[in-house]
Amino acid sequence: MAKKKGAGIIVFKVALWYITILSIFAAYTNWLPQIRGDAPEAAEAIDVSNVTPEDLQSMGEQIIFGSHDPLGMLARGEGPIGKGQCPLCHRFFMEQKADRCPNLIALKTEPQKLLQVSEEERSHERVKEPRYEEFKKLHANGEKNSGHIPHAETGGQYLIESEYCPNCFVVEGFGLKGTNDTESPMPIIDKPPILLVDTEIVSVVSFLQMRDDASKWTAKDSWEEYFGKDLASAAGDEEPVEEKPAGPPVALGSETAEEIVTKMTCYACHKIPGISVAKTGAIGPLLIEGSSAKRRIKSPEYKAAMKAGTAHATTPREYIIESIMDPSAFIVPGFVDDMLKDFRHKFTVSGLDVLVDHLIAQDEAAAIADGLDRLANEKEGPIKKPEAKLETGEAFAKNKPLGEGVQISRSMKDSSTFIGLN
Amino acid sequence: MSKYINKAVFAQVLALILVILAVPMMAWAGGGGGPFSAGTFSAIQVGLVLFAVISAWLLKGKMGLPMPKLIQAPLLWVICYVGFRIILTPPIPFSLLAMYMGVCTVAIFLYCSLTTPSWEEFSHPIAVMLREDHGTAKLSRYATFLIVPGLIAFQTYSQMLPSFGEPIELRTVHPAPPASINLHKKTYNLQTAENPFRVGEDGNYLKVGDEAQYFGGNAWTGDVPKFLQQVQQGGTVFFGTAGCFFCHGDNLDGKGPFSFAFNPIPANFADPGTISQLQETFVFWRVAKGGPDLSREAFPWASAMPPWEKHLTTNEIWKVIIFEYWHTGFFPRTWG
Amino acid sequence: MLNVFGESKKKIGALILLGMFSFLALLPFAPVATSLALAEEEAAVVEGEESDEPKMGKDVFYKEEGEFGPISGPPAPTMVYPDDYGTYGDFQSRTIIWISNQQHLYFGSFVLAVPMFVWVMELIGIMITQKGDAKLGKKFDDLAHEMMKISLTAYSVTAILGGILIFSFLALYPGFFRYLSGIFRPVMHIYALLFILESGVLYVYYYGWDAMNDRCGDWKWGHLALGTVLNAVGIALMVMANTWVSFMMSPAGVDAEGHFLGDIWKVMHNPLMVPVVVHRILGNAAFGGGVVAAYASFRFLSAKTPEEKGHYDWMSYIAMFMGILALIPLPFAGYWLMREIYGYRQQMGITLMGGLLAWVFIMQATMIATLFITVNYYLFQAMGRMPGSERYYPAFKFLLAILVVSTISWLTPHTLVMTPAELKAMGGAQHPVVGNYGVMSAKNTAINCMITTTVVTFMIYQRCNVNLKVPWAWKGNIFLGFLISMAYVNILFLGVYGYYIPANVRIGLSVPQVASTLTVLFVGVTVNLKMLKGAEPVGEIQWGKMSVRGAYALFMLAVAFTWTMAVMGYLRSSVRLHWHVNEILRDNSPWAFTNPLGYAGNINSLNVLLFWTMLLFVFWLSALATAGKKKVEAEEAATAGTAVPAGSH
Repeated sequence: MAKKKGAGIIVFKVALWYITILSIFAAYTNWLPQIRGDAPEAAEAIDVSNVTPEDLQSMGEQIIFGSHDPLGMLARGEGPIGKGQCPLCHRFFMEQKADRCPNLIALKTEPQKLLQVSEEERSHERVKEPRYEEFKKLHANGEKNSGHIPHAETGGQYLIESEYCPNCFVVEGFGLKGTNDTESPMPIIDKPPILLVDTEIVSVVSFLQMRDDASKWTAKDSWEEYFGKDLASAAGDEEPVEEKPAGPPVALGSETAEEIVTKMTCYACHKIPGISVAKTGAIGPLLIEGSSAKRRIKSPEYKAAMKAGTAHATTPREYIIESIMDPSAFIVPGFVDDMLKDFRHKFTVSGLDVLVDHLIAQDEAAAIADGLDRLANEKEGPIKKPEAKLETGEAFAKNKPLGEGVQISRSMKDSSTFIGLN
Repeated sequence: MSKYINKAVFAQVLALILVILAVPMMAWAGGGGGPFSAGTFSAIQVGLVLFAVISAWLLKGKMGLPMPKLIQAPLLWVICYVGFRIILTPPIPFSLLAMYMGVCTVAIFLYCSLTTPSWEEFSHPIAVMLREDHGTAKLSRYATFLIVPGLIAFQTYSQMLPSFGEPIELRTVHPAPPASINLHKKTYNLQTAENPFRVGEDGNYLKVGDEAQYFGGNAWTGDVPKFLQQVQQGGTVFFGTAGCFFCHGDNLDGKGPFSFAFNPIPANFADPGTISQLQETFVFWRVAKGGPDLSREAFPWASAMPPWEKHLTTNEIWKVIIFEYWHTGFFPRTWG
Repeated sequence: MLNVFGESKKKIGALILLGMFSFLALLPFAPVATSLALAEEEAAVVEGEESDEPKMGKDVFYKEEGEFGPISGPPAPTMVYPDDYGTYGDFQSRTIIWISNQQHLYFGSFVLAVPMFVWVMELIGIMITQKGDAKLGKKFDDLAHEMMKISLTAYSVTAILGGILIFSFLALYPGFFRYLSGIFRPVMHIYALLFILESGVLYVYYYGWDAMNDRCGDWKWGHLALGTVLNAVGIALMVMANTWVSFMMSPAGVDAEGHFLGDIWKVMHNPLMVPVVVHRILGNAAFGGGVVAAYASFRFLSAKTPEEKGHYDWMSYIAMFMGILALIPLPFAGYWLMREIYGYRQQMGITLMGGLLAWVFIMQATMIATLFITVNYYLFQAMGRMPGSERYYPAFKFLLAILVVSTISWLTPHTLVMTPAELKAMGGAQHPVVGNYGVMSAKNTAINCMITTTVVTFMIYQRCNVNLKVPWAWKGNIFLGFLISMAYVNILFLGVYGYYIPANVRIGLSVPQVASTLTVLFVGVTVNLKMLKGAEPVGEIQWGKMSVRGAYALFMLAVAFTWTMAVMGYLRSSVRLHWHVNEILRDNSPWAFTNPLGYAGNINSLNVLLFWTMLLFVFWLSALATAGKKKVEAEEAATAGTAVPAGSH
């Protein structure tokens, strides 16, 4: 066939044949299902020396809000809460409701509404407060939970310190009740359950500093000055971040009441007998529902709520479930409607049973046994108990009665943050 | 001689047309619209194929009228198509059909060009059709140049036509498991973990394959060997505690009463392609973590499998796995 | 056979030459000794500075003995984008590395494989000459020489591509390269030195060809010995480069943070190293055969004279035959590699076979099926040049049918792509009939059937142009028929039986299946050859009478080899997912994702096209050099070619 043809024609024909085969192969691979295997997201512990402050800021935003569009989420009625869980207690936006801990609003961007101080600016004031000197004296031998000695000199260092050692400085009016503002309700951020690594904490501080003015960024230097070591080298020594399942935590029937309380952070607000982590909560009532639930249902305030159609419980068990699933249904007199509203999405039925079983089993006797007492603003007053067990909380309640409405006044006291919106 | 050949060619073309016409009819009949029961229908199908084979043999062997390659090729193609499209039940998905027919097309071409005589027989009429300038050749040439673009146009048209079918879902049935999982506060290395309830009479670990001695036994009588006790407890989980049977079926065939509500449908353990292809730890991972823990490559995937770790204890999970393998008579994959 | 203790000066010269090269071959290991000594010194310094004992690290792979080693290197760095990665705009840096790697690998494989063939050809040439058939001997010798010439030009292209590859690494993946070269420091130097040695031996081997050619004398044997050294060095080079790649897949000799633990051998001898090396050597040989066959078919098509045509027909047949010899054990080596991968990480195995990359295996199955069908088709076409083969024509379609049915069952994926409606209609994710072909048992059966069929086709090829004359011919035929049918029955039976037994036993079944295939291969071919003794030829083989389709089939074969290599390379590389070094050094670049198959297919086709375009240049160069000499050679070759019996190789 090829006798009379030149090599050029042969090359052309063979090339055509090659291209045909190759096209068929390529087309076949394109016809087969296409799966792109994406790499999982990298661990947050990164080498800080090699990223820009902007990267850190964005990382911090993700840690705080779990999203880069927290305002959009708020507008949609979702709660922007990342793994740092900060917005549970701190308020970052006007649209957000959280006043358990000092506001962290940076308001320069919305001058018409506010008080024109950002957390960055505020932080410089904190270290100059005379109270900071008192805290330095108080914890001269190291703060007992974290082991740190308060020694922040700049605003940046103050912000860093506050995360590793919340008790090193407690903003006036935000301390745990009964501690005369010496103990903070905030968990230590580099320890479980939040357990951020150093670089993540630096990124959170970066976010706070850079919200209004990117030039104010000192987070990394502040960290290194505060700890006197290199952040990059320290990063390698960190224990790996415990992997958490995606999505919000869910209380399960297979868990103990203690685990559920820990997971749902009930302890942040409530004292609960029999739960070792729940000894200090001072925002919600003492949970001894074996006796108080019965009393509450019979109370005229509850009857009124039933009439109004908000509350429906007739048995203590129903009351407890209602209180968890729909906290607004009835507010215990002396408290405000401050409890998180999303627990109905976070409990399995069996998980709820575990918690209710535990709560319904608690009464005054259990509280006394655990050395717990009601808050000052509970109408029932302190539980009667032997003199010997009288402890600081009780004594403090006597010395410094706060009375009703304390939840609101707490915010007011922090004059530098209060903006009169409630 | 040539007169006969022309007659034979005519008869064969007729047969070809009949077969081509038969395809939609058979599809209609087999699709439940026709008057035949499934058994009769299969019999007719087999009969037709036999008829085609026998008549080809008769024509060639007995009457000395071999079928020209140019006729054989499309006929073979149609037979393959009928086989894969209609005779093979339940129907295979289009992607597979396309793959099969692609292979068949290439194979038929190779068949026609296997030897030089056969290639000449096949290509000669085509060459005539393309080159010669007499009536028949001209006619067939024009017909070809009408039909081929027409087919392409039709193909394009049907592709462009908006369709309302559900989109194709690609399912990676066995996505890669993680190296280890955390379950009830313990870490299990999926490479090395062993089922603690895979025990023989002496209480020691039973090597995979050795459990065959217990297959077919009744685990629900009074006094049973240790292994069957685990099976029994696993069965209790399957039918009781967890209620796996709602989806995976009484016979573990993935046809439980709820199964039809799911897409993808629940796994059929009785199929040799599921649990028998996997290590016990893989099944353990799937049961414990369910759909939510599937890796990215397994998406888009809407597996309804719940993460059973939230409802079962670790021991219950291991036992139900023992039960599943025992019931189906499969063995887990091992690499030892 | 090599009598170097004779009186001839030449023999002594040959001996001295061999000694010199042996010494040269040892030279590269000098740096190892130095580096080992250095490492010891370093360790001593560390000891002195820090504490009594060096810090020990726990090996990620080795257990028990050798589980711990002194930490002797920096940890694996945390790669940061963009600092540790170079880019050219938004283009995937990885693709640049991919292409340069692939091109280097193609040419590397080619220059590694060709000397293997050349060595065998030269040996055959010498042996035939010794037997007295000087003409045929020279024909083989010239063929070997011609192949070597192609390889020589390709060799320099390989070196250039290697340079490009290193520069691409330094420019695009500096962080990764720094870490890897930190661990393989001594080995990389040896590699470079061996490369120099390889060049030296290669040039002496090629340019000394005519000078050392005393037909079957001592100089010729010395030349062959040089060929041995050349091949040994070539394989050593490949093994070294392989250890880097297999280290990336399955690291060993480092601890979980990536500290080097002081023992370079442990790093090199990582879990997947040996199977990868074996698989790659066989693959290279098959690939080399394919390339040379394609070269010969091109010359066959463009040949001007019948003599030339005959010569290249013969050459393409020989090259194809060598390629097939390597191709037949290749699936078994691949199976072994896969098993080792599963043993190393279940997760990796499932990613390959059932997970993310499962579709690539469907593609691979397509390629292997293409290879085997093409080989058979080529042999069918090649029989066109054998008078008397007409008797076997009716059998061809049945052989083809077996191949096609095997292909269909092999191509059936375990995971089907379907619409939800199709899923419902089918009543399950697995089809009750076709689903059975989706599993390993069916696929093993299919590949064994295909290989057995290929062997049967070859046996037919051997005997198609003769009338058997041995008295026991009918017995032999019955035996062969029995052997072949029993092999099929055994393969099928075991394949079906595999569905009823546990997987670990099922894996064992592949051994008797392979045994059936190999029995047909060795016993069948041997008996067949014995039967050919004294057979009366129907007619002489008419080299050059093969159909054009046969030549195109060989092109297909070559492309399929090249493409299969590319797709398997993509597979091997992708299974690391988002790791540079599996579980040690993470890929933090934006290209850490695994490219979809379609993209890989496009790049592969591009790579193959690029390779063949460059190869065309290489062929053209080598054709330039011999344009003058050809006429004489071709005439000689054609006359000798007619005397080659089909069954002799």
